[in-house]
Amino acid sequence: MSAGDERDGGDEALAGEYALGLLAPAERRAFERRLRIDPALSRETGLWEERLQPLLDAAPALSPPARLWQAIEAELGPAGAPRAAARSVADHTHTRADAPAARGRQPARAGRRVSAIWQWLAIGSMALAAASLAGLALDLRPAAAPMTASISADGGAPLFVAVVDPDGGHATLMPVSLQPQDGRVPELWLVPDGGAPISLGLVDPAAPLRVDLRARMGTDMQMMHMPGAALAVSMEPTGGSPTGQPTGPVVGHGMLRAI
Amino acid sequence: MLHGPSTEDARQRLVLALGRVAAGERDALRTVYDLTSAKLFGVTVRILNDEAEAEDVLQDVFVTVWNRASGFDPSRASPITWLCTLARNRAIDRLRALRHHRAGTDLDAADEVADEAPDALSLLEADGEARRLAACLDGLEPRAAQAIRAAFFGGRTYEDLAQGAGVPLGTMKSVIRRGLIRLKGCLEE
Repeated sequence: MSAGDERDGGDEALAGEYALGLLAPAERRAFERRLRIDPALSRETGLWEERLQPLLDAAPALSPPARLWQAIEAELGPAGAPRAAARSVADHTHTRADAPAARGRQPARAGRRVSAIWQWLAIGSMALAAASLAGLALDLRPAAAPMTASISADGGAPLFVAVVDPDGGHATLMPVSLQPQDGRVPELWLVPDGGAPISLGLVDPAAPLRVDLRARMGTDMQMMHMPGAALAVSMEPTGGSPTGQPTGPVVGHGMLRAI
Repeated sequence: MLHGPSTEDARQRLVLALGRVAAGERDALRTVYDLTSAKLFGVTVRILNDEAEAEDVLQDVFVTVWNRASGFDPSRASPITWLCTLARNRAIDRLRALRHHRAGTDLDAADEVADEAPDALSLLEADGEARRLAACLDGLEPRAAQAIRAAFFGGRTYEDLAQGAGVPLGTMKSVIRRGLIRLKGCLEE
């Protein structure tokens, strides 16, 4: 930083500068790293985009030539062909940054930590969002490239690294640093947006978990793709949840998205 | 266009279509295209001032929508803002690349920062939000408002803006940052 280059306006102004495209490349990359883990910053950036949006009303709408759609279809290939892997954050649609899920029901478990987390997932309130969300990306489409992601706890320590084999419809979770708890085992859940959590099985803290997603979810696999779906891990009594729904504290969670 | 009898209906249709795009339905992408391509083409043409380049960028935008619709969270962003941000960002990237390329090949190219102020007619035709934003921009010091518009539409960097205004870089940064805070305050009144 040069002399006289103090950051007046703090993060509010910084988010506006980012939305305008004024940040230099290194600053922009640093900002985008922060966006991934700072929900308040992400929210302010989204607000700037909405604030500035009406400037675009000055651009008259104009129908593109018919060949444009043809060119898009040609580039995407025949319908049913696999999607390309998405690009990196460098294309700065910041909305790719993690965000809590949208509206939905809340399982009733007053007074337990688990209900607070589900409530957060259900109402999508930025104020409750844990700062350390790392998205678990599962891409289940056939012939897509394998990928990795981490599920993290509040505070950011990664609990699991996931490797996805889309061809086989499997996800493998390798525990990294889950603290064992007496009498408790971790259980993995898919939380569809607005839906009840679905168990994906127990995680052995000492060994990789191989989740057969098709067997667990059958025709509901599409739920993985819906916006707002998330994965979570709760600590359950030995043998897993006695009720089929999470009963213990949630130790890690992350948004699902296809990369 | 999304200014029909029920803008909320149109928004919902777009949200649902994007959800289906995320689920891999190609015809849903066509729906998104039908609903938004005119608006987005208008945006890219406005920024690039070149229909051929604008078309090329727009193709890129819709391919990205296809690949990244699952990244759109309707609880956080309006769908048209998400799409316009994508289109604008790509158009600015292209504009900067073209500018860079032209600077390298045409020694006489005068690359002045254009005045992007709206004309009176377009303000009359604008809806409430656009008029409000224009009024708030008018309340800023002129250098700030001009710089914000030049960045938004012209992809101008701090260096360009400082040079164009004949002020040090640090001054231009302060002007804009203060302007942004003031703009935010005005819009929140």
